[in-house]
Amino acid sequence: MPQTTQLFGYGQLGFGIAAAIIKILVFVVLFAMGLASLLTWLERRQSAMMQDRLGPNRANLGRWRAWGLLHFVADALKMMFKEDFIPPKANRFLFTLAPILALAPPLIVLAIIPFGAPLCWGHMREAVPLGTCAQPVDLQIARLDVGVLFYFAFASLSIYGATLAGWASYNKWALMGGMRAASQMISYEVTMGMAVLAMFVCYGTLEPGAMVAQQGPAPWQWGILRGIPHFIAFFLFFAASFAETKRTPFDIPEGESEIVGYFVEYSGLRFGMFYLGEFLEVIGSSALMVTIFLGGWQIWGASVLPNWAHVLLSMLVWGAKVFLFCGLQLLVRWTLPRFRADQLMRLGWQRLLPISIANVVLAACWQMWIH
Amino acid sequence: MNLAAHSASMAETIVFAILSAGVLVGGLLTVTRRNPVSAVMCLVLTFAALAGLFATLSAHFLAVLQILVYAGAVMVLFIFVVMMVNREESTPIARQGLVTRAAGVLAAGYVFYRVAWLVSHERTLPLLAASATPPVKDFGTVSAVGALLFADFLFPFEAISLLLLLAVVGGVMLTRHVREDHSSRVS
Repeated sequence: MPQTTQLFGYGQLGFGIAAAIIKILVFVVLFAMGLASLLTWLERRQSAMMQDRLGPNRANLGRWRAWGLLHFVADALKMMFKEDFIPPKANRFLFTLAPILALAPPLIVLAIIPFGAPLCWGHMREAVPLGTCAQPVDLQIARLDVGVLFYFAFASLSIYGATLAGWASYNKWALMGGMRAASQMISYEVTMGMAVLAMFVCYGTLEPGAMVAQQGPAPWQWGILRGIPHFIAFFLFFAASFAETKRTPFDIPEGESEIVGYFVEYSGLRFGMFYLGEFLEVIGSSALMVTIFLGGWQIWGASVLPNWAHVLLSMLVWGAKVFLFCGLQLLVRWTLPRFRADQLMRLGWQRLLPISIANVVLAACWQMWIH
Repeated sequence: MNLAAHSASMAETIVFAILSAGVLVGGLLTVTRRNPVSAVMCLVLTFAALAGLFATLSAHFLAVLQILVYAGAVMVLFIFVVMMVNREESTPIARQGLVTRAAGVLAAGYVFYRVAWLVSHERTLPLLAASATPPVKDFGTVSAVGALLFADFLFPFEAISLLLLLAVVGGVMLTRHVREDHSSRVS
């Protein structure tokens, strides 16, 4: 028994591993995967509402129908039992690798997102003001010094998913989709990084947990309202991250009505991985925007409650913000038409990039005036 | 040594074995694949495992930059170019004469000899012996690397960025020239 406490006591290796596994189960498996599958249904339902159709409303468990909510279960079952077809001339190794590379990075980047107030180990039934706990357990899978750079590093790897899928399928339409995806995602990554640079100047840190701690629960304490450059940075980041998820109006790699896109040869569960990966990217970028610009999990006055209630409420507030943001992204997707390829490149390199570089300079000047 | 420290050091050894195997296998596959896209992806594996090794040496900033710049940006451009050129798998890229092969074997052998010498003399080299001490507390953090780049090594840092800017402007000039020719011919 003394060995067990030595290994699993607060601050020991076993405790860290157990806490990390629980956090991954709750956040990635339950919240992110659950919300992503829910969004697949929500998107079809919402587009139906916007276009005066009914949409998927039939899936049910006997009499329990719930607006067809169970369609995502039916879709998942259908994908699992569909024929898994690999074109005879395709490169089998890369064809198999591509969906994995499309799904894994959006899951990995969730590691740095703080999704709730820190839990106070051993004092969970008492009210603990923020920052005074002796044994805090951060509700963040990895608290890294490099923080948001970790997000960019792994998000940049998801380009391989689309590009390799296009190349390995041995199909001209897929190849065109893959090329478009590569050029688009490389272009907008630069703007994304530059936009968030303005916020690094403001916070003086790259670590998302520390960024949330510097913001407050009220909207005027959020990062987005720190000043003019930070307000601009939010919209630049939103536009660029939208382009990174390859959704309409930035969906020329997919281009449903012209080339069908880089995953045209994929079927069954492999297609499902691309589909789920896209929604996970939506959740990941929403979560990052909520963390950097919109106050993260901060909730007003809840630190007088017992610690467990505070943590629970902060997770709910955070989840609601992320959910609303995902809803906004769905709304934009069904409102705007698709860009042309040259318009997309012009917007990225000649509009957004110069603005974002100027914005970094403006943010630096702003910071110097304040101090 | 207590149980926790023991299991931590064992975990470190296992992680090191996995990552170095990734680096070696990835490097080997990069030079043996006939398909250029597969070769590029194996090089990506090498870079990712190398980033992992940097992370275990508590150089987190370097590890993330390794993935961000090399695995995420440079190699994507490699893939892009390979896809544009789209060579057949049967036509090898390298020349296969006897002289080329002999030169390749000699060069690889020389590199191996130098590295092997370095590793076998590791204990006696003053530089490596000094770096074997545990790193300072904020070693490898973003602020420590930033302080080095913008205070101690400002001149080389700025000189390199100027050089890169020249390369970018040169590249733009080259492609612009071609495009103007093309458009004047069309109109």
